[in-house]
Amino acid sequence: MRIGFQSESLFRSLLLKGAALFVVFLVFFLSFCVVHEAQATTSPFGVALPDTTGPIATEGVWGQIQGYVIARQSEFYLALKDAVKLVKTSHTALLLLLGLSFGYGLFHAVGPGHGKVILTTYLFASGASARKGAVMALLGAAVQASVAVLLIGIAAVILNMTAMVITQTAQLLELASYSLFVILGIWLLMRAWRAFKLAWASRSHTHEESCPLHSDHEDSHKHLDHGHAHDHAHSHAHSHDLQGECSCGHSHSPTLEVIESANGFRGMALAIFSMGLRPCSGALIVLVFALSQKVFWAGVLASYAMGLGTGLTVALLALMAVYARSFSQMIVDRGFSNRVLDWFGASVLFVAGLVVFAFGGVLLLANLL
Amino acid sequence: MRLNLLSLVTFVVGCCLPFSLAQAHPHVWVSVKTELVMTGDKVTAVNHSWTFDEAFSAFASQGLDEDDDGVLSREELQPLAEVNVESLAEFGYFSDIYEQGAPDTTDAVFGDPRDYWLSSENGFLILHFTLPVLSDVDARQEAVLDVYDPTYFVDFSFPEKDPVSVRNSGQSCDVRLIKPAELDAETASLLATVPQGQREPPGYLMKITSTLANQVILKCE
Repeated sequence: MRIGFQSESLFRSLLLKGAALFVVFLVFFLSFCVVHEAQATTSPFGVALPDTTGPIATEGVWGQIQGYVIARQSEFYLALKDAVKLVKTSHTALLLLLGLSFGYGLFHAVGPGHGKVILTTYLFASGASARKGAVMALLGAAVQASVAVLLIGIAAVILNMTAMVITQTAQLLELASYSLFVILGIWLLMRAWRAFKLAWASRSHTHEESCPLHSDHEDSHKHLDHGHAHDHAHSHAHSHDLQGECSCGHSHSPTLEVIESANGFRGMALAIFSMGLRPCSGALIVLVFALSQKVFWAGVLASYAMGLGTGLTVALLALMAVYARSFSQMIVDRGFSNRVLDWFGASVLFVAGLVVFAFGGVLLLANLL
Repeated sequence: MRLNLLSLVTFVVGCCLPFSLAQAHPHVWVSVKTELVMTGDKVTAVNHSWTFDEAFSAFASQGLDEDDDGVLSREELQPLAEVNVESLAEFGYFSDIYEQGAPDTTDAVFGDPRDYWLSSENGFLILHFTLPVLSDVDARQEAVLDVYDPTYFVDFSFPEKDPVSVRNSGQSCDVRLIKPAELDAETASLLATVPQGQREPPGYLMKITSTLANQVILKCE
């Protein structure tokens, strides 16, 4: 009894120290973000938004690739404009236009972007499957292309609004996107809070969890349809459960349940829309240019080709995030109990929530002030 | 718990360290024609005529042809010209003028722009504006005009034909142009780290961005 009490107080003090370390670290991290990010996006000519800031590597091989891509983007972009003009006279030029747009999107996405930060953070934290990650990247890009097409379709084609008004609308969409970042951050934090509470509550009775509880979970699995059976990455990540202390076969801690629900429909939809709501300046300009050349339809096709290119590059990043997660989970899996795994998952979710929240919050403030 | 924390810290720090938050790549290409206006030995004003690329021109002038006659008149374009120069103020008009070798100052170099207007030629918009020079710039000391965007949202360049002229030069003046070096991969990615809206790039980048400036060097005897 006495020994149990002591180890518990030791655990508590460790927890407190850990929390203190976390706070110090987070303050450091957030101030880093604020310093770099507190720049409102303004356009030097008052029309068309510059692409927003995002992380970019300046060193190493990755920096070299990005530098090369940034240097090449101008050429792509100029060729793209010529292709739009060519479509007027030659229909085979459409293939050229689509190819160039696809390439522009492919390379464009290698550069900086907020959506990528949000998606990779979200995927790492929620432990979504590789397939889900890739689908989300493509859907995000499809939403972004559709937003651009709808914005220009309604504002320019139907309402004949000016570039100034279109830019203001794009700014509103940008604010909406950042607000969704904040909401997604809060949503992740709430999930993390629930996961922490469950992990805390189950700290004493993880070992004697009764079997009927597990069968309950199995039932809920069927209802939620997480797709465990079809998903290799997923089942791999949780294989520890099968060798758990309980002999009832499939077991799943309630904490993991909460963590996994972060990659359910709501979380995915939030992440996809927060990524896609802000239209890309390049697409807006190409669409209006196509409209001025009386080939708006070609602009629409070009936007979606760009989106496909962007989506594929982002999908690659998404896969990296998914594999980084399953790799780190595997390491924690190897040497630690389910309880540590619960705390690990909940902590990652918490940090991710904070990062997404702070990222969105800072962007929102910088653009509102 | 310890290891858990450690791995987390490693993960987040690992993700952030090699990155800095950055700006992208050009969306607007501008061909710069400029006229230096002299009073005596001093450069007192800069007359800019900037031709925007075709796609940006189409975007910027969207919806401005109010009478729908297919022609963009100066009046129809005036609201856009106003927005342009107002927005450019924050960026210092992407221009700087100084005597060769003069120390950097934080003082405003130009006064508020005058006589700004837009014209449209074959689908290309041209922004005309005059920047009065506030500081003392003596052309006998070699006057230097820089035009560039250190953040590289706008790609400035001189056209082949008549990029620069000088008005009221009483004496014999020599005008030289220095065109920016071709942008290599390393420079491009370094430039991309300068946040949009930051006029002065950090010191270590200044050396690079100054090689990207379109420079006019005026020397009068």
